[in-house]
Amino acid sequence: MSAAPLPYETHHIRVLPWRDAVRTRPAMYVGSSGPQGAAHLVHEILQNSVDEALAGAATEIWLRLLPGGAVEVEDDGRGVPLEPVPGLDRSALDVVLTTLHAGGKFDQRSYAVAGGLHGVGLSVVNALSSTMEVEVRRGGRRALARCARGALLGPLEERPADGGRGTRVRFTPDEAIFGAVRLDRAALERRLMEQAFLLPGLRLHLDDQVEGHARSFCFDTGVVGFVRALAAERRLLHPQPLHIVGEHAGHRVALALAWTDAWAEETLSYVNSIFTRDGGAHVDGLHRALLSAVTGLAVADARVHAEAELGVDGFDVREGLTCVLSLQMAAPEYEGQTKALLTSASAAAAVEAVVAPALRALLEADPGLADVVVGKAVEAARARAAARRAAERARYQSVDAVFSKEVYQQQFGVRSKNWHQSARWITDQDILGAHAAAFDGPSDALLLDVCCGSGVVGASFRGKVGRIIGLDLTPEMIRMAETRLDEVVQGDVYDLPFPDNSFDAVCNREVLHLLPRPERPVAQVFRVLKPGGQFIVGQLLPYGAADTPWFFRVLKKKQPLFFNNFTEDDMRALLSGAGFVDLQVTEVLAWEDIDTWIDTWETPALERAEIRALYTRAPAEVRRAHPFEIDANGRILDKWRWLIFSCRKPA
Amino acid sequence: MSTPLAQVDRDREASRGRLPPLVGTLTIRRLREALARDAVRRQVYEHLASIAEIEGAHGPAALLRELAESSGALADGHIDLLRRAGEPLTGAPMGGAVSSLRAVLRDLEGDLDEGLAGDAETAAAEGFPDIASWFRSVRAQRVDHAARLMAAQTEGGAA
Repeated sequence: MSAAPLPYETHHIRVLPWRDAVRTRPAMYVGSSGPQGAAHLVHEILQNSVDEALAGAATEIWLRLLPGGAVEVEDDGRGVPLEPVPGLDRSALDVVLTTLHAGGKFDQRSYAVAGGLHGVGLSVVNALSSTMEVEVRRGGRRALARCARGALLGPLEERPADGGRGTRVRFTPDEAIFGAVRLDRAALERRLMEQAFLLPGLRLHLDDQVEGHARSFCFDTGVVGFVRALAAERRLLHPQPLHIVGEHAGHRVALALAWTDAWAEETLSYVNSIFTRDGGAHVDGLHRALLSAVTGLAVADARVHAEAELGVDGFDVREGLTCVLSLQMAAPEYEGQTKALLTSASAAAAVEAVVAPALRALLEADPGLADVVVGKAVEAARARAAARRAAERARYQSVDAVFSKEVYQQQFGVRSKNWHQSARWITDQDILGAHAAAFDGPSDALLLDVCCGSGVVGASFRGKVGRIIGLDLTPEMIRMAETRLDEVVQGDVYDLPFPDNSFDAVCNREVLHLLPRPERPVAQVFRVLKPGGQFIVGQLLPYGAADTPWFFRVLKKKQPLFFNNFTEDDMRALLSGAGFVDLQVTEVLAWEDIDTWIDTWETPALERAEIRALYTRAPAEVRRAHPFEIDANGRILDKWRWLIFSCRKPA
Repeated sequence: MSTPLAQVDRDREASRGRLPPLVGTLTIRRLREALARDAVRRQVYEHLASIAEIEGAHGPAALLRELAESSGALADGHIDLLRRAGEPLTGAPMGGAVSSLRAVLRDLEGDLDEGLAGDAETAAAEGFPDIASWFRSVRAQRVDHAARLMAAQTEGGAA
């Protein structure tokens, strides 16, 4: 055996003072010791003010970003009590500032509902701030408490009363804990806007005194206005968002929902105005209610009978849904202190009980609306089945490398409707510019843009070449490309409809990975190029070995026609194997908005959710190799690695 | 310095006295099969739990996760017993950390030499270019893992 175990006696037991406990393990209280943790401090203090508004006691909240990293939150609520707490001989303000699990939200006597729960918010923020001051106006008094790293610096200072009311908290997240943090103003602004929608009539102000930016929010439209704002860039499939409010067993539910022409679902959920990023019981109840209301109604619908073998499911019903669910309830239970996921089982039953009959009644009262909703669900079920069939057909046919033109035409025909809005990479100027910059040839060169899509890649060569011809399979894409290129031909890349040695240059972007046996189209490109002609081909690739299988899974779930997960070496081998020489490579890194990218017809809802899970649960070695970010609202930005290969047919 | 695991195993083996050697028995084959089954179960249950969570079926998801965890613990138990006959991936004698790295590397190299490249060819020949590409992607990562293991052995420490 190894050396004798270390001694473990009573005198080794150490009781950490509460401040040290919080500062030693900040992530236990605020989720992290990085920028997200610092942002959580702001949310905690802001929530105290919002709870005053929820209690009907505050009408206005100010959030100020001050020089030196300080933050100030002020409200016109009741103010933290200043009187001594019985038995403690200290003022209530002193107690809530310097005692964990002290506050007025443990029962429903001061706050019927509240976002804060455990009486830890103010004291934890105090412990994790290098300085904090709290000014309270209440009952004709105005008092100030000053603290540093959780310790009160002296007795309350009495100041001349000014007749006002409320609480003002100014604090500076401690650099020793969080490092030098720059708070995300846009995220804070979003948070204030959300609260303004959730609590109609409440005025919220953001004042960034560092960068000189101020905004105020006050809406009387509630969750309906919230849904309208969320769906601003989508087309609603019915004139107005649906609005459902109701109460069940002490749970107050407010819901607005609208079906849009998007494919992805966007549901934002709140409990006592706190954003539940990962959903939970209340969202489960909503999903059950949606499914039962829509399928219940659809039983009498002939289309559903006709498509019965498809099995319309919950994802189909929610496709394209934009939705805000706000629940108010006493004593909610969450998984963890950051309250991202509600676990109170009663919430699921309450939301379902309120929403299912109300939604059913709305749909039954408006046959046009019911037609839209049922039609959308049936369309989603069909698309899901078609996406599955697309992959299967392409796979079976690829045995002989005869790819199914219809499958590609169908997919890209549908996607042409919002092609340029469906992802950032399509019109990214850095990526397009890198293709054009790679060209080195005569100014009267004849360029072929293979699988040209809307023609943006070929058009990026305008001014550098003499004439640009596009080729694509899909009529809808050809019509778009005709507005940018000199001529567009319908044809397929496995059998280019051009004589040998026709072009000075050929360009192509993000297509080869969709083609079984990619060496055949590359050989076709080689054939139609003149001797010495240049082939410029851009491809999205993994960063290295560590993220290669992970990236395969992301791309395959997004796109059933994804067949080749090229690495840089694979691409080099593919091009040199076809006979190309003089290979040069340019790298472009470009942020892609994953939530927008996966909001497409060919990516069924389950796969969309699985793609998000691949990011949120990416293994450490993938995270080290492949940069991506997930913001506080769960949106994913991935820094994609594009390689633009340039090579030549030997002269 | 702690006692190498191999020494602990040898000590335990000695104290076990009259037990027959495990190597070459039907029992070890059954243990290996049980390990394969439970390791696969653990992974599949985890996968199904993730899908159930996405569907909002948190009750079934929690049950599947618990069963996955339990299967993982069973797999770990199989490995515990297999250790009597050496390092479970290759059957090489158990040793310290460096020896474990060597065994894992040997197993990976076997996979690289005999498995994944041929798997990709099979998938391509049967008309599954995407699955062939998947096998190639896996192989790329395995090659990287093998390089890391070799580097760690050279340094004489952990990967």
